[in-house]
Amino acid sequence: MIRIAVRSALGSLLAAIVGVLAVAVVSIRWVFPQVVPDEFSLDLAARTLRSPSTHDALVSGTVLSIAVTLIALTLAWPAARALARSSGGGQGLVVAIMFLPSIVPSVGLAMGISVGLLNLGVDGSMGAVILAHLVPAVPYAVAILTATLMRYDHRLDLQAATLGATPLQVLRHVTLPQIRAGLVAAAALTFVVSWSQYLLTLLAGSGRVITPTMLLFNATAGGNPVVIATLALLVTVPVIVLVSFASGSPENGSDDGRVST
Amino acid sequence: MTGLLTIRRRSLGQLARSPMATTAPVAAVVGLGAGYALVEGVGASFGFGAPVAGVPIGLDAYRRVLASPTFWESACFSLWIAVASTVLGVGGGTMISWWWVSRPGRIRRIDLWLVNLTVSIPHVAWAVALLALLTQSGFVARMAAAAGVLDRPDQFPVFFADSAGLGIIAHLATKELAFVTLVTLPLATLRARHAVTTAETLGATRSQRFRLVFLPTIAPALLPATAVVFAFALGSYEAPALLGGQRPRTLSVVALEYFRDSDLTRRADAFAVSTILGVVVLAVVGALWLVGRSSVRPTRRADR
Repeated sequence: MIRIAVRSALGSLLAAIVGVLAVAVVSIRWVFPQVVPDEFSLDLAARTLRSPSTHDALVSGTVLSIAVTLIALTLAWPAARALARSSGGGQGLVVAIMFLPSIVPSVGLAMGISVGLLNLGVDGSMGAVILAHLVPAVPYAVAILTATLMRYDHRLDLQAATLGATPLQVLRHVTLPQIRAGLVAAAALTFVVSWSQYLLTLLAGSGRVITPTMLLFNATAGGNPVVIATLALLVTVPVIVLVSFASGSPENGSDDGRVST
Repeated sequence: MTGLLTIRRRSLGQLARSPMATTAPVAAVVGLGAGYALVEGVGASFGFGAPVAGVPIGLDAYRRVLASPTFWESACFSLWIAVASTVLGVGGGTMISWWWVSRPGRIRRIDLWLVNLTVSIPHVAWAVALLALLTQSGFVARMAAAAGVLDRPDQFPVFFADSAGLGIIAHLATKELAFVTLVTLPLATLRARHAVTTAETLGATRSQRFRLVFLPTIAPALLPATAVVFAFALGSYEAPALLGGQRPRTLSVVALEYFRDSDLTRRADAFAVSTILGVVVLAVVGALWLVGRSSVRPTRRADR
């Protein structure tokens, strides 16, 4: 009973959030007491989506978040393997470092990182924003991959190696198929962390690297409600798709309720 | 010294596979990024470093910031928002975990999906959606009007740009509630469920099961989550910038305004404000660590 209440509370909040945005996207005239808009049209939403600024933001946001995801996963993989296998011996220090970006107030973190990039002379570039995003993104990748690898039976790797498989073959035919779900979850959620950043993108990119999330923030200052709702959906829909991928994996929805984040 | 000798004795291949070498890249990226931001920020607040070149070294920035007429107003507003949203988020998240543990049956995939989604939707989009729902002419007000509860928009409570920061608290609390649920769930379902059932069999009351079994079992996840959630609420920018008004403003909004000022002395002020925020977070993290030391130990001992 209570579980249904919790589910319906969160569910209706999310449904209301997506629903209101979806209705706002098509509303031309929506006078106060009306629950449904008086006039509908897709024109302005379509024009917003087709505009060069939206197109550019979508391209740079996607490229940025994919790059951050790939780099974060590559860096996180060996670390997660070590963390999942061993205990003690510097492990505490690494975990503490991974906590750092969550504990340092995000305004201070963004200001400090942007000054660092400025000192390196690379601020305002795509590379600078990628570097900046790695700071909050890598800990997510490490956490999810470590949780995944902790549940993986490493004796399978040894067995395959004993039977003559090369390290690459072990990885391709034994390890990866077993942990695919966790890997997908790590990739999806790391992408989402990067995709969601506003302040870090603004400061590290000196306002020159524009993502959909930044476009949305800028539009809220006096923008047209239809444009704002369209951009909000543009930012939210990929996240819904990716989270569905991530929580659709059997590991995450298994009986014991283990989650990877 | 002994460490050095050990390293020399090892072959290079072994060294490359050692836990230290494999975790070094992530530790470097995250540690250098966040650590540099921290050192640079604290230094700049005292007038050190290139970002505040020409600003005299000393406590001037702190004097200016603390003497500003709106500082204490902003500090109280920030603390109120951080404490209120942390209490609601941690309390709500703990209750959801408890409900899931104390009921029989598995956790549905849709529940996890909902919680995951609430955590993951970008803050800017979440704030925009809350505005669409909760402004005086928003969707909820229209539903209330349709139900005959109110006639005019101004009869609906003000949630945004208000002096209590209700909209900001609602934003942070909903996101944090889902985060705390997600972080405590593994311990809750893997360890607490079994322990709670055992306690029930042994005759523990519902409140005893919650206080003496459930809370200590999830404490190793709950306490760090509380620290993260508090730090996030205190330092977050998007929600207070989008949902707050001109006065009072949170310290995070004030810090960013100072930072983007063309006057470099203002930049030192920005870092002074963010250093003050950091000190508050440090105090809270320290307090939670002390709580953790006294509350977590008995469960660990019982584990062995």
